[in-house]
Amino acid sequence: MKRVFPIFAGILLLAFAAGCTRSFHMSRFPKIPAPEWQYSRKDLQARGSIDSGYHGNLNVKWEDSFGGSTIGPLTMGGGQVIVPISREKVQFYDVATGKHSGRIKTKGNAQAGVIIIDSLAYFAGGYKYNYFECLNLHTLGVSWKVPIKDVTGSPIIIEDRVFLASTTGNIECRNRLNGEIIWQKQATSRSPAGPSSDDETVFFPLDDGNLIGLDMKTGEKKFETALGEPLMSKVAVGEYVFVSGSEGSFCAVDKKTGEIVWKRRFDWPIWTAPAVDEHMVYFGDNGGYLHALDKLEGRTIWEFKSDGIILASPIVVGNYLLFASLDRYLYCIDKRTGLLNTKHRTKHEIRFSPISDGESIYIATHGGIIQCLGD
Amino acid sequence: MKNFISRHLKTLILIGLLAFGFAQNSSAQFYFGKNKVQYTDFDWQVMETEHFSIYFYTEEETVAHIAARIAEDCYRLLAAKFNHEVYRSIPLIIYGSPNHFTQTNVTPSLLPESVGGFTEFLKGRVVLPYNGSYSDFYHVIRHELVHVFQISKLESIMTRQRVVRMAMPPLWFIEGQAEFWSTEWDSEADAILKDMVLSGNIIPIERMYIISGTYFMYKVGQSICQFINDEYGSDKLVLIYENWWKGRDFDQILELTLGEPVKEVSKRWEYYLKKKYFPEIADQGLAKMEAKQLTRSGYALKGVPIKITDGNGGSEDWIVFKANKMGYSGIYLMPPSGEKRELYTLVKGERSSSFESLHLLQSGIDANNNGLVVFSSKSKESDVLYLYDIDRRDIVEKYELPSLSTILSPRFSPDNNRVVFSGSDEGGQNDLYVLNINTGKLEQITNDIYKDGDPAFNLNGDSIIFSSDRCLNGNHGARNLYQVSVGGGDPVQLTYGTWRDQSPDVSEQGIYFSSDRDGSFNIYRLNPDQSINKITSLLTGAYDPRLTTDGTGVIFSGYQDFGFHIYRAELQDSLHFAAGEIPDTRGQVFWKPGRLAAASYKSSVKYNTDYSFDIAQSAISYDPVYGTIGGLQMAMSDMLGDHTFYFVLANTAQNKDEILTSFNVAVTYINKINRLNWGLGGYHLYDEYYNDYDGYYFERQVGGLVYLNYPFSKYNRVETTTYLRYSDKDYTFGFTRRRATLWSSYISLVSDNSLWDISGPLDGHRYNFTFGVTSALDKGRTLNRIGLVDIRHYFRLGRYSAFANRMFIYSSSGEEPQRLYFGGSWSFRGYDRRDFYVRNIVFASNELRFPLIDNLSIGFPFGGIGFQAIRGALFFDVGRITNRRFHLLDQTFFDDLIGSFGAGFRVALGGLIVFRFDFARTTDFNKISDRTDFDFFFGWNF
Repeated sequence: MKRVFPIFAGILLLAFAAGCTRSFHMSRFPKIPAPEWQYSRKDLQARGSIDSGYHGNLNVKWEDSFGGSTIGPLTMGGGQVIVPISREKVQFYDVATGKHSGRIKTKGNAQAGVIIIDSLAYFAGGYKYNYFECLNLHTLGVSWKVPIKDVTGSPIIIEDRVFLASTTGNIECRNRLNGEIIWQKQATSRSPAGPSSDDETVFFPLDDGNLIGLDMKTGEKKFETALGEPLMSKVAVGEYVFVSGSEGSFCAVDKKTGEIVWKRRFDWPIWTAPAVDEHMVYFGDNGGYLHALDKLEGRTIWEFKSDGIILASPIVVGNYLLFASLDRYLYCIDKRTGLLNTKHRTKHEIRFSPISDGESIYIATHGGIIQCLGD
Repeated sequence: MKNFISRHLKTLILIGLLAFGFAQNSSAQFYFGKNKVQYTDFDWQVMETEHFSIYFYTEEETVAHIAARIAEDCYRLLAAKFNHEVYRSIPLIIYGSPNHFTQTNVTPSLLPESVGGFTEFLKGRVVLPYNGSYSDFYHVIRHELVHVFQISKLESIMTRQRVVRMAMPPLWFIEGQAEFWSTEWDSEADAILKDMVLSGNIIPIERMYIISGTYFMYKVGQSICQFINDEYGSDKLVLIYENWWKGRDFDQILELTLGEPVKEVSKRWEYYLKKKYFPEIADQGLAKMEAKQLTRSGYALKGVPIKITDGNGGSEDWIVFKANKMGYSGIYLMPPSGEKRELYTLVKGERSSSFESLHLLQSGIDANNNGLVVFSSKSKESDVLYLYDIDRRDIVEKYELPSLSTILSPRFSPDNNRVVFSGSDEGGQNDLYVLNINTGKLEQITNDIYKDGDPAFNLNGDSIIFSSDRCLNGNHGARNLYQVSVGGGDPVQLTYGTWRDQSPDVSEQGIYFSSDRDGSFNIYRLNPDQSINKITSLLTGAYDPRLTTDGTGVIFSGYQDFGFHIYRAELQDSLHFAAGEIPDTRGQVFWKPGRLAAASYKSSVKYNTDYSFDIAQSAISYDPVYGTIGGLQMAMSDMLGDHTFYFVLANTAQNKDEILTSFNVAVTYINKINRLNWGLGGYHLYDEYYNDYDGYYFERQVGGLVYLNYPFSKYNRVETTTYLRYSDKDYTFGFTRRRATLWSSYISLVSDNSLWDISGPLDGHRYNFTFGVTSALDKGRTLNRIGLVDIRHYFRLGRYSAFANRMFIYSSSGEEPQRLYFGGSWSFRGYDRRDFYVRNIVFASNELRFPLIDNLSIGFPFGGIGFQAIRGALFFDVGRITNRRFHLLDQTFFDDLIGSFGAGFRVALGGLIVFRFDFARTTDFNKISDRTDFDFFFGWNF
């Protein structure tokens, strides 16, 4: 018994230490404004591009590994890179140093990603838990929490409104400060990717092939356009709304009327959201092709072939287009010519879009490694 | 007197199971089982491509390159469909012919002819043969790769979600999706669904287990997947996998993904089918209504009408055909009016090595007016050609053609001196051959990569009409009719279109053939002026046309009510299509199989044995008498399954001082490369044992074994096992400690051609003759001899009924005879399990097996349970079980007979488990016991 006790106590101590990794706390003041790169690229509200002087280098500036798989889109906020991972956790890394700032535990995996504004973290609990929560990162207290069945895609926040869709086809706009419903709609089908928006309209691509545009303030339907195939990724909004079809079509839709302006057909399914810059629209497909089209007419400007499926949406950072392929490379392409600038090999595949603060590129691999890449 | 069998009970459990249980490539029950024979010595090579390791042997290098290209193309397509990449090199093991494929050691199971390929889950190996058809090859590779992606995707999802669940989607979904994503919806699939809908037999999704594992399941599953894709969206078949971690079972996941419960999905699917197929009956008919059905029982097809002339100038009309009437395929003879009046069995297949497989579906047969039937059959390593004389009721000639692996659809020439057939060489290339049946001279007519099948001589016998995939779209399954001179040269195209024209039968009226050009297979006639007449207009398919001897009708195989039968349709006014323009395509190449660019693969290298684990597990077994045995069990094998190691490690120490001396270690190696399978093993065992004779004792055994198994054919083998061991036996009570070096040798002759129903054998026989000797080397004397005869015969009474008879004789003599436990449900019913522990047994068992209920489904609030079959049994067992010597002719032998009789029923659940319930009373033949003994047991009938 004398021997057993210290062993038992040691095990308890180890278990306690293992369970007591630091929770993340954020300073309440000064208030952190919503950064331009607030959401993951996959879920960026509009364009998926950022102006910057990025030099196109993919040298590893820092990296860390976390136990588990990347389970949702990367986001950035409060000076942190935020990675939802399996085992119902969200990891926080300091953007500048890569230092692990801590983690929060969620009920269910935060598969829709985490948005941080003003020290408040917004996220949905995974399947089965069925909630959407606003967590005060300063106090780690729940500001508000509402039941909502299996949030699909990633919600977006525009000013004081949060827009989200659920697996039942329910679409909601809530007050981000108190969680109260501002308006609510029932779509004909579910929106697997969730909303995108411009200044006036919120766009929901649905898996029955319809794209609906709702008035941001009232929720009134502005248009519903049938595109004929399941729409599995977010739309990008530039001069037009750019929509990817999971059976290989890609089209530009008028933002106000929903009329199809041009439509192209490609050989492979498209499950990535497009990125738009001043001249072109970019998207990847399941054949491994990254396409750059003239955004006004839909002409192909260039194509780049990778050796794996492209599931993570591309991003435009300055003069470069960055995208990850399931061939385990992150590619950096000259966005004007489509020529390869450089590529970065990762140990595991990347399933979620890279994000950037304009200087560096952040990626998290399926196998649990986060890297900051740049000069 | 000590005995042997008790001393080695655990040894036999451990080593015996290791050495024999795993070594038998068979569906063995106890010590029977059929054999997987390694006839061919393969020189294996490996070629590495971007995503595959392709294993092939030298003769099929061309096929391996074709496979590499198909596999890489399919990989890219499936990765895109699944949204998933497989991050390991996928082993693709290719065999040059279906006959070679049956020799694979990747799976220990015997492969039925209907298996076109399989994906094995342990090492993710894909194994398949090339049957000479590029489109079939493409289909099978893609189908199996769907399975690879299914497994990999589920594994990836569950790993990502950190959820542990071993369950897989139901088989209908697994196979249905594989079909849906590997092949187009074709006329054969359509025929199955039409038949199901029009006969009112649509199987709801929630009851798909009824057809689990059948060909119907593949096609019905394909239809459901297509329906989900069309009606719910193309994303749903992927999302089912993405959602896999969210649900408890498939029904829940399907509901989550589609937004509707399975019952509702099923209703919608049924409605979708009805809307699709009901209108078609307005314009087309069903075989049973539009033609005369000539066969009734089982499946029948490939009918050949003949007029047999006798020596006196008389003649009689008959139809020769192939059928599977009682579980075996065979060749039969019936009058033109049908089998109801007369039916003769000419050849019984699948019971002997001469007729291992008659290629029921794949190969046609032919017969001539001299009463000769020509057919091919698998016989040991490859196919052979047989001539059967109807008059003599016997095989009159057998042609073994060593250069060919498969022989299909032979046809006589008009002068009956030659036979043309479609054959494949060892490299898989399929061509036409003509055999002079008088001289045995073989001539190759075509020589290219295309599949040439269903050949028939023209009326002059100077050219051959055949079906070939060398046409436009042939790489996607199309086949057209061609004509080639017997002397060779470029084939001339006779029909033209991206459909399937096959089974030509040449007559003066024109060439009758079957074609799916209008969506269903029907019979057509190509007239001498190149115009075409449509002879039948059936919804669910008409195949293999043969003009009747009087030229007034056509005999064909028709599909309806889930089966094939032979029908006769009268020739009458039929749809006539004017001669279309058929371009002269001689020498034109429509397609060629692609190959990978040189930079896309590494040159092949010789296969090196590379071991990996098949299974590693901890196991504990408990026996109320023998106690607990537990430990680590491991098995590892190479990629081709030719070499296997089995390991067992356990410790039976009862205190810490015994730990080092109480390890139970056993290692067995089995080599299955050649026809002679052999094994070596070594073991150290130490434990406490018990038997009724010795009581409790400790025994340490250190020794080794040599195992040899030589199959003469699929059905017969001889096997031997020799043990050499040191035994130290320390009795708890009574006997003095004894140490000895023991040598045991056993030799067995085993024969098994039994045909099984769901609850056990119904037809055929099983024999086991074993003789063994055990000697104490250090004492220089023989300790015991054993002799065992176990003969089981099954006399078929009906499709699901049989009379089974078992004769079992066992005797052991010597100073330490080996005793056997006897009694219980699996041996002597009515007596308790292990009621007898004896050295001499004469025992006979008789059982009448009959069907009670088929496919019983019982609904419960929590779901339904389906019992595949419930069978009844009446039995009578009799035997003399004793430790004394006796003679069969002594009167005392009969005086001491005991017996039992009773009834029971067997319930088959899911095709895997059989519950046996027996109610028996015992008798000593003077009186009957007044107690009814009830036995419950898991396992098949004897």
